Amino acid sequence: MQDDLVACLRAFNRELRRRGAMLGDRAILRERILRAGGRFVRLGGAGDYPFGSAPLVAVDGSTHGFGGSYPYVVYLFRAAARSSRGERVVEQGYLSPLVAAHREEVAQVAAREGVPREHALLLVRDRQLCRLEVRAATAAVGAVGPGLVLFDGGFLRYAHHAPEEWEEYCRTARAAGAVSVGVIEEAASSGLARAVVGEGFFDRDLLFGLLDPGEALFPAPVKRGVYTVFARLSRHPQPVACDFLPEHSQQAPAVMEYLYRITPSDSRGIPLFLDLVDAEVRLDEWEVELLLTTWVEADLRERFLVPHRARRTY
Amino acid sequence: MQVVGTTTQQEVWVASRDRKFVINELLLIEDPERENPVGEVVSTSSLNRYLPLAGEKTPLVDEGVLAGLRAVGYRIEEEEVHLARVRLLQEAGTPVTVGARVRRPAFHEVARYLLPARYRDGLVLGVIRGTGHLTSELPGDLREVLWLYDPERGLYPQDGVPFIFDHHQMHQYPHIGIFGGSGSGKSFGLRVLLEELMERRIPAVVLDPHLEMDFSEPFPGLPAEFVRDYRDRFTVFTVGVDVGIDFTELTSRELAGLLDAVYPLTEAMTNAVETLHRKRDSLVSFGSNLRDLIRAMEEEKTIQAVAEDKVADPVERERIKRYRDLLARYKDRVGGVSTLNAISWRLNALEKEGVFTAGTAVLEEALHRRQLVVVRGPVRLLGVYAAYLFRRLYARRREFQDARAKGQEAPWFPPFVLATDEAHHFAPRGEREVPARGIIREIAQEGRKYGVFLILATQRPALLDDTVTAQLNTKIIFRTVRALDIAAIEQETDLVREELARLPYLASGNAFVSSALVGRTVPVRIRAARTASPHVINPFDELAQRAGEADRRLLEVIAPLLPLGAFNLDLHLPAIQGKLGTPVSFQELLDRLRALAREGHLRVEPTPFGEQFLPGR
Repeated sequence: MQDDLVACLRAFNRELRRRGAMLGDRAILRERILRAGGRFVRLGGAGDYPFGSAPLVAVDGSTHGFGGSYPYVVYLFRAAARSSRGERVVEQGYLSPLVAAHREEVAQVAAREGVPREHALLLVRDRQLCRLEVRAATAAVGAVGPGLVLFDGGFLRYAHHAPEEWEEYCRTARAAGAVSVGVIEEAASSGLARAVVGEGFFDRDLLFGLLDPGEALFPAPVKRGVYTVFARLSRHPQPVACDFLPEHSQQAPAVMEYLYRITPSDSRGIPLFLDLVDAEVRLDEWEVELLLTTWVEADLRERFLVPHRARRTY
Repeated sequence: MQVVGTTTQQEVWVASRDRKFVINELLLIEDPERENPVGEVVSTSSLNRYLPLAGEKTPLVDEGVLAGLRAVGYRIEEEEVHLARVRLLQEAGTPVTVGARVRRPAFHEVARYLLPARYRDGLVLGVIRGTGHLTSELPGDLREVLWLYDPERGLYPQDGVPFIFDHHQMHQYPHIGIFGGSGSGKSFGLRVLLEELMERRIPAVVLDPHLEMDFSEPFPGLPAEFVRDYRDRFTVFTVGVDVGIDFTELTSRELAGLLDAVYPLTEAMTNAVETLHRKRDSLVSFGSNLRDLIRAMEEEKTIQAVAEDKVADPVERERIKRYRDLLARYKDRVGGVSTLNAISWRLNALEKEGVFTAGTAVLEEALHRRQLVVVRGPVRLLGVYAAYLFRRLYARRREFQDARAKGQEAPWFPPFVLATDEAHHFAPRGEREVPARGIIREIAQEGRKYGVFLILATQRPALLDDTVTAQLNTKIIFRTVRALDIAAIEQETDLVREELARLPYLASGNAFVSSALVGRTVPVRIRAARTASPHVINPFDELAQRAGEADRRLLEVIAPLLPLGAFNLDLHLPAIQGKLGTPVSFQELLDRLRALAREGHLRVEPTPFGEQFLPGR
């Protein structure tokens, strides 16, 4: 029954091997990056927190859905900004096409983007999550006056899905003098790869195993958009990407030193404090189910939400 | 504090970020629909989800990382979450609301769960654990009513709500069991109970095989206002000295039991005793029957050969007639001469111990005076004596009660309590015949009707007679380690899994009280006794102390005679012996001087005549 699949996977494996070979070896890649204006820096100084008594803030959000196919589904959202001194700003919400106002927004996005409503729902969901995260961050900046704000995820995501909120956040942070960093655990960018190896490749292809543990790659500063530093903060060969606003590229080295310090060397390379907030806000299947079973009456849940496939015997 | 997770009508989980839960503390759940139930913490735990057990998926976090976060004010240690399993004191009608707020109750909110209705008059046994925070809210008559003791802390003042046992309710729920291994505080518990009986002048009898039931000495260090003089509240009797057995009241079985206590009887002997013994036999009548029968059997041939009318001496004739009678009546029913001889020497032994010289009158008078009666004697004898004594006292009380029930006049005999440690010796489970078990069973089952109650302490509840155990309506359970005993406790009490699991780890003096009176298991710390057990000095300390005394004495004696040595020891030996008061040889003395020198009490210098001992520095 699996013979065909095996053949497929063999071919796939050959393709991946060829893709790897096209990149060339590590030394050559590093050389090309240097020529493109990048700088490899070995982290591991004292790693002191560069912002004195202004606290650290970490921002993350989580969403989890429950239900069957469109529109019988509900998404719950939870976003939080937490300061190292213990303050928390939490934003929560829900989204379901069963609610008229939400359905309206989905329909608008579907029309504007020219996609089916179920795809539009996913877009609205991402938008909603980004909005809540940025709102929490903005409120936290106002409330606690942080020196450094860590986001779980890149800035482009916020700029794309919640442009107005993101603008406002940037204004507020700038006014408060807070440096923002978006930590991306799985870089989906392609800018560096395009510059170094050409089209068709992504930064991940290039960077896996390229850096030594504790090494960071600072590209040439940029004027607009986002300044992204790559770093292997733990022993894991997959580096993380850290987005800075262009005006903060000067502070990036000191910030990266500190992030290196607060990342456990045995971990996947995410600063510990960010991981803690991630764990705190995470809505998992168990919790969502528990919440819905407790707070949505059984008949309504069965009628509108429980996917029929959940009733399978096997 | 907040209710979390899945709840039931009986149990909830409570979580807190800021405070650790205290085992057995009471918590009030603010759930108005269920009338704000109160529960008791039955297990506690604390966890930090960010500091898990290190494993493949959860590596240990480097110290540097934590230091880096501490620098910005974040302490991962503070992520600790505290959890408690809370069992409701009274079942709620429906499951408790998840998310309900939880707080520590005020005293007036929980008083009804903690105190019996007639608390002013009950037995004050200790404090209820987990109620420490309520101490300051207690009304005056519940404050400073006891002291506590812990081998490490010593004596310390009352810390919590007193545990008061309403003994009046024993009328409905009679008898108390005290279970616990050695060092668990069981004997202390029994002492405290007996003190409370004396305090309220409740007549009681306690068997004292270990000679520890003396209440004359106050507990060392106890503040004066808590010291009580119980010297006129108890009397010690020793079997065979002040109290004994009225032989005429013995049943055949009791007599056999008594003889067996001297040295075990064979079946033939038991049979012989039961054959020979008649109701209302006196020691003299039974003893002479026994001795004469032995003589008769020994001289049987001669006796049977003599023609009665040929004997001139009337006394001798009478004797032969009596012997023939005895032979006719008993010969075939009592076995051989050796069997009877064996019974005879046992009887003599009992007689010599004085068991039959005194009766129980003085003891009964003490009960009339509402005293605690302490009965001492060798363990084996005590078992038999207890059978006799308990039966007799119980009968006295019954006679009075029965007569009164029939509307007849009868001399008053007070209700009383029978107490003993090592109860499994007196009423063991199993086939083996034990003299006291029958009467203990009877009192266990019927004593309530007559106002006769048992307090049975044992370290082996598993070995205690089932019928008796089942009737112990209140059980005070101290540390127990043996699995067999824990299993017995599990069967006989309402202790739940968590409590049973804690039994092997209970600190000395801590106990669970499982009682039909209270309707739930109460964790208790038994109070400090007001009096001390007489033999508390450690035998090994005693040895060291004695040795020290002997050395000091010798030093005193020889001090004026120094310097001493082998050269002049002969000369002084008689004087030294005289002053020490014991003969001591030359060599022995020399050895002891050397030993004192080794310990630095004397100094040694060599001389041409051998070593010389000088005063130590």
